[in-house]
Amino acid sequence: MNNIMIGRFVPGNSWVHRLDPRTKMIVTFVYIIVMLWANNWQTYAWTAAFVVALVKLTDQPFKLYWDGLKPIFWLILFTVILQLLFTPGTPILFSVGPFQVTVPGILNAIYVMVRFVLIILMSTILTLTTPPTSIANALESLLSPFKKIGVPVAELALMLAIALRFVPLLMDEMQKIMNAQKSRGMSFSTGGPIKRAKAIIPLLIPLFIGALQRALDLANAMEVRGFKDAVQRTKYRILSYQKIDKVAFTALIGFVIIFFVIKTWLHG
Amino acid sequence: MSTATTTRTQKLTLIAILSAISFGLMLFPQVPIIPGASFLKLDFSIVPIIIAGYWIDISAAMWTVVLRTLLKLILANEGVNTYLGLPVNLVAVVVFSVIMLWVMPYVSSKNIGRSLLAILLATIGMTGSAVIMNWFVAVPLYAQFANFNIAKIIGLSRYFIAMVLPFNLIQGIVWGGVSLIVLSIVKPLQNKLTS
Repeated sequence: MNNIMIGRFVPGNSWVHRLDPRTKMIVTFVYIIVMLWANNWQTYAWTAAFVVALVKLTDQPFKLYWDGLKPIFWLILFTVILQLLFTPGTPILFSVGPFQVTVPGILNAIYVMVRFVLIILMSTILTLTTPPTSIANALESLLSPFKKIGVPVAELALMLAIALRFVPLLMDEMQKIMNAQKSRGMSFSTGGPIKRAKAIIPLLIPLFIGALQRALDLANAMEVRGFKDAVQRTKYRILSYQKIDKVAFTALIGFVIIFFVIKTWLHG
Repeated sequence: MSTATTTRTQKLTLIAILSAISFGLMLFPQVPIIPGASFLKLDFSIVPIIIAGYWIDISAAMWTVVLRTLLKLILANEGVNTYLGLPVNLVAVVVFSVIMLWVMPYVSSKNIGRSLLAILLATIGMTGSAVIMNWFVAVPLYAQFANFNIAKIIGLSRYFIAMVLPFNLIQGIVWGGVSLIVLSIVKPLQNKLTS
């Protein structure tokens, strides 16, 4: 359970690490939107080339990216098999019982797999090279226009930063409680919904008791240090766009233009 | 449920920590309920949201939903599956929590009938919202962006009758039951917030 996110950020000094977190979030968001428009092998090849270049620029071993893909391996496999067996069309290559494996089915299966993998790689680049607190700061900055319509963006960012800080601690606590319950013969992974619901209650009670105590302690600690209002909070790290970010935005615009050129003129 | 003695800072920290727990419960344990629909999994991330609603107020519950969704996107993003599945889950969780909190504003062991009515209405509301979201959002988007055309592969009526409806009905009953049991056990702790 822990290996999903703990240690996901890997410190470094690569070109991607040095980018402003807002730049990385915008690039990731735009890439995912563009990726959803890919519909032929040329556009998939171009989006794949962009991600591979970014992965290379992060200076991180590929194993880390593979770890990001592992949790959804079975989901990808399930989707690929569905595509293979249920996509109608011609030519039919062979039949498996009532199912037919067709050339369009194989192409669809490959496209779906590539799309899954590329979007996850892109998200992994963001989380591998950006500390969670920087992501919270970037989100606060990017959402700041919503302050004008009354959205408490500063409070949201503060809560997100606290939540990100506490996720590893609470996951550890959850693991400890689960191990304690398992040692008493409890099983969290067998049985139907009712049996598992019964099993989860002894896990939830200590978690909520601990959560309330932690929240009150943290609030006291913040208040005795003079915390009054998230809006008036000062920051240790001030975000500012650098030359490197301008290069990244230029590359992003180039990527999008070339993508639509390929999509429109090379394939129609 | 909100009191003047619960400071704004306490509310902020409690919402943040409950969101972190809710996020953890999105990942584990997950229970597949419907055979053949491995993508429909029951999780217990609703419980901290309901707790936030009863310990603080309904807006705290909504902030917990927003934060756990952001945590999921930042820390455990599963790509296409997350982008297409999360909006359906978000609406289902919001509808369920709002109806629960609206029908049963206070937890009381004396009023079992109202508790059961809250669970029943919340489950029906959530199932309805899940059907609408699946019909108009998830099914077309999965077909468009994941090449997974449920209408062709499974059949729309079969998908809704054999998967979406039973899944959401079971999920609602389990969510409501677990939330009420947990709430009644941790009720004495609420005094800490008001003392």
